[in-house]
Order: sequence, then C-alpha cells, then structure tokens
Amino acid sequence: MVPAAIARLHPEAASWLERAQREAAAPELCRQQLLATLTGAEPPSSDDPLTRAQLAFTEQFAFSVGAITDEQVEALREHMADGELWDFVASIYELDMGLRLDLVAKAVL
Amino acid sequence: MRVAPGSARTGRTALDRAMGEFERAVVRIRGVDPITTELVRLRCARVHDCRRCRSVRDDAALQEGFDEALGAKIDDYERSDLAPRHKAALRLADAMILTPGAIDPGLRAELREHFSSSEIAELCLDVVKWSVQKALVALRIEPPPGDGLIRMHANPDGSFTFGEPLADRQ
Repeated sequence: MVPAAIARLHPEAASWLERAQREAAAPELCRQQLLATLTGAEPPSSDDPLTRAQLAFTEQFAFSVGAITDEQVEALREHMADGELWDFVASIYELDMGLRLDLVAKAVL
Repeated sequence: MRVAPGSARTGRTALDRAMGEFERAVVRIRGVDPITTELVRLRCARVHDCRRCRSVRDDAALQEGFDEALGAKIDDYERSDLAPRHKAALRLADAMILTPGAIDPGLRAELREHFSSSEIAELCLDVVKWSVQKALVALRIEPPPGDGLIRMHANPDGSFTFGEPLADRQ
C-alpha cells in the first residue's frame, strides 16, 4: 500500500513501512471506517459489540486521537487483554497513516 | 494510562519491530533541512496532542537556529510570517493529518517551488513517522514530559538520545 513514488524515492523506509503494514491486522470494517472518516465515504455498521467498539475507536482515532475517551478504550478492554489492545491500536495506526499517505502522495508526487 | 506498562512498543511483535525499523529509517533520511523537519514534527505533536513530543526539541534544528519564537508560529502558521517554504511544508503536514480527503489542488505546485520530489516524499514519510505517537496518545502511554523543554539528538542509526533541559533557550 506504500505509493510507488515513495517506494522509488526512499526504498528502505518504504520497505519497512510495507513490512509493518503486512504485519498489521485490523478488521476490514475498520478500514472501511477509516475511509469513511478520511474521505466521506459511507461508514460501516455492525450489531456486534466488539466490532461497534472497534469502529467507534477507529473513527475517533482518525478524527482526533487526543479526544479518545476512557469509555471508548474501556469498551475495547471488555474484549481485549492489554497486549491485544496494543496490537489493535498499532494496526489502526498503520492503516490510518497508510491511507493518508496514499491519498496525499498521489496528489503531490 | 489505559494499558499496563510494558504492553506496548516493547518489540514484542513483528509489527512493533517493523514500526521501529521504519521510524529509524525515516530519521536517517536527511534531505530536508532540520528546521523544516522540526516545524513539521511539532505540528504533528500539537495536532495529535502528544505531551512528550511537544516537550522536546531537535538538536540539529536548534543548531540551525530554531527557537521558541519560531515554534510559536506553528499553531497559526497561515497568518504568521513564516517563510513560504515552511508554510508549504506545514500545509503538506496538515493535508496528511487533517484533510487527506480534501487536498488543495494547488499544493503540488506550491511544494515544487520549494522542494524536490525526494524532499516531498521525505516530508510525507516524516508525517507518518511523527504520527506514530497517535497509537501512544490513544492509550495515553506516551512517555511523560519532563519539566520544561529538553533536547533530543538523532543518532546515526536513527534512534534518539534525550539530553539536557533547554531553560536557557526559552
């Protein structure tokens, strides 16, 4: 998912970013939520409590990470141990910044 | 703090290790001047509300003349007297962290007045690297800020060493 221009100009950093993106394991619905937040596409929905908590967290992560509430984190912690929570958040970061890099690099490079 | 200490960024997983290697690889790219890079880093820190990142200053930028008067112009940079080159870099940072779905069509040409393709790509990667704090801020596990500002020094391998307070540079 690293834009070709970035990979051509800075191959080492791009290679590690691609590696990180491959290791990230965010649910597909979270990717759809990120796209919705970043581009105005139709947001996904779910009746599953964990998925709903993940989508709410993902939306806030993309929109204003500093405003994530204790309640939003607690909703995830009901389903995830600390290590799993970190893995989820790190994966959302990779997905979020990967989508942003793709959108912007295409426009400016 | 929303997770137990040691749950995050310990190199425990392949993802953590790849993230760390990516960050160090980006820091080793030195095409863009240190002051522009520092302005972009601090813009990310302020938008993401990373208390630690806001409290450190890059040694190379300080040596090139970065000071707090310059840093104070970041928040309202559009109405500041920052150099056009610095404003262009901050607009690119904002395009990535605030409005990636609504990029000003004039940004590409503006960037090319001041930066090469390699430098534009470097700035994009800088924003990705300096946004890694989003994951830490989300769980409020970023390292706590010290008292006042402190120096940070980029090592040849891309890691950082944090040094003495900057009280004399306020």
